[in-house]
Amino acid sequence: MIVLLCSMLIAFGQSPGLIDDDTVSTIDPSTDSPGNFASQLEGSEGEEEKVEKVEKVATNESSEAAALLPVSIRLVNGIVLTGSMNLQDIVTWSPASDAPVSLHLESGTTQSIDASQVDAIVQGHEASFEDTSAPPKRAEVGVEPSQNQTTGATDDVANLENPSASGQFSFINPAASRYLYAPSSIPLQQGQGYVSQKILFTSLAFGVTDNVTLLMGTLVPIPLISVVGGKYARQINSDWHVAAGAEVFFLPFANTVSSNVPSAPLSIGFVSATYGDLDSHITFATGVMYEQVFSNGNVVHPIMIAGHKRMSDRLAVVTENWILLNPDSLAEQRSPYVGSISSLAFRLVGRRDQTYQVFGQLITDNGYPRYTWDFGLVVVSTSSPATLDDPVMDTTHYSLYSDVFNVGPMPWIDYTWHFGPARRP
Amino acid sequence: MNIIMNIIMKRTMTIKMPTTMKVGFVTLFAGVACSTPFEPSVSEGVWLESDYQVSFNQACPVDSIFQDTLKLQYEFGDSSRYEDTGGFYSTSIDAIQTYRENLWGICSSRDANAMFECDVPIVLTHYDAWKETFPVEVTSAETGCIVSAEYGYSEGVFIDETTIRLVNYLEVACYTDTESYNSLRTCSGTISSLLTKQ
Repeated sequence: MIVLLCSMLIAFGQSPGLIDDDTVSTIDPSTDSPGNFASQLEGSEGEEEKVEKVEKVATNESSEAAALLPVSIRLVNGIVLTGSMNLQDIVTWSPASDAPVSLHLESGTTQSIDASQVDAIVQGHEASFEDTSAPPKRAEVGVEPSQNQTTGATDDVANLENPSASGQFSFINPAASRYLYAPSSIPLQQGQGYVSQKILFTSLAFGVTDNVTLLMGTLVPIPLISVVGGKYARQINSDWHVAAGAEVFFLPFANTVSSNVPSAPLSIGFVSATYGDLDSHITFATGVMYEQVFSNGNVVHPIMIAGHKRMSDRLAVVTENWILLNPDSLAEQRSPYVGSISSLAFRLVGRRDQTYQVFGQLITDNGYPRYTWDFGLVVVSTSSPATLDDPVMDTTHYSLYSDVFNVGPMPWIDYTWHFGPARRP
Repeated sequence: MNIIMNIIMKRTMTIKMPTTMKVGFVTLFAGVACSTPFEPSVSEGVWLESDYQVSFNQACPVDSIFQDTLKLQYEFGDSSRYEDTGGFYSTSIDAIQTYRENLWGICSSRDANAMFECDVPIVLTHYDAWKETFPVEVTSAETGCIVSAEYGYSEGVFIDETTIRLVNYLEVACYTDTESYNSLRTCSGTISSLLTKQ
């Protein structure tokens, strides 16, 4: 069954070939008249005469055409396209521009070219690109990060945005800030956020600043369990992020059930460190947890190890593993192991638009899903020692032998909708 | 066939498990490895009782009886029966005493773990060894009343391979006759002790 699940996910995980505003190295084939555009690309290399006929577009008699000027566009791959562009577009275009370039072709159609593919634009169809002294518009995929990173520690998130940090994928991973439940040390940027639906548990995370993320969540439709929390995270160098935070789980109706039911059965304060980039990273976290779930009110120390490995544009493997330890048991020569949670999931990666959207579409401007799916399995294990209550000695005798209770593997399904803009460069 | 197997083997060998998966599996098995399940074979052998702590009703002083000098020994017998929860009940102390070398005959582990319960207080399996100064037995010798084991049980836990903590809950009465259940003397209390493997 697991093999079948893997096969299905890998099949679904193939890149759909669509691009968005933050695409780095592809030309959008889903835009208008793909056939015409393809023929232009083909012709540009071997049949320049055919391409150059496009300059006649400038003679269009319409009033709108009056503002069109003949241009030649050199793409990053060296191909030169000719056509015409709106005067205002020419005026506002710059090598650092992210806006797609609209090229009017002789056929009368308008072709949108992703800004990342445009190396230079010159007016006229016979103009030479030799005179252009514009620097490379942006880093090309595959360039070493060190060549492109901004300097200085103040720009914590800028380096993250450079897709060449991984260099393998056409868009930035929008879900690097979290694993299945636990956060990584990679922060959301200001204005970014997500709404996550984990089976019946809904949570909302929002980047208040580039370093501070707030979280809240609850069971739906009845808020039997709720959580609030926050995380401060920052990048300390090209490979490492660190974070600290806290989460408190509440049982809002605890007192209505019984006075013995704790209203806050689980609280955790944590510190974490993440090694890697947005696409491949591993996190180690620990802290202090007061829990009345696995034990009868113990302070335990969790150790969490989680990993994220992006396999393709749309597919990633995620694992999140917890071990809960009670050091007090060591003083009684007993095992400190309280319980563990292990998980492995496949993630179908969505993406964000560059434009800012808090409430809006489920898809990006170019039709790419803004949501991420997680499909996986979770195993929960607890261990409790055998005990004997001794009324004569008024004590409890603990055995070195313990019972292990395993729950699972249980299916894990998570739907997360990303809002806010894509990561800023 | 060999060609097919070679293809399968090559395909299998070239599958690389991502580090992410390795982390998950290692953590899972590390957690399970931190637990120590109980093996019933640990019960096999001879266990010596000591370290008595008692709490009885005022009419039944027994502190001087339950001392380490008693050197009571037990055996659990066939360990494969430790999950046998078949009930045992008898007011006959003589019948109870036949189980001192076969405790799994009257005891069992309900949850198949290191804890066990016995249908009678197992200290009664050695009643003849300590009854001489037991107040109920003294009364029986003086009046001829009939000694009977009333409701009682034992609970124990294997602390480790060589140690058991045990608690006996017992009540012994001496009746003038078997019809009226008029007790001339009753001892009711709890005995905590330690069993050490010999």
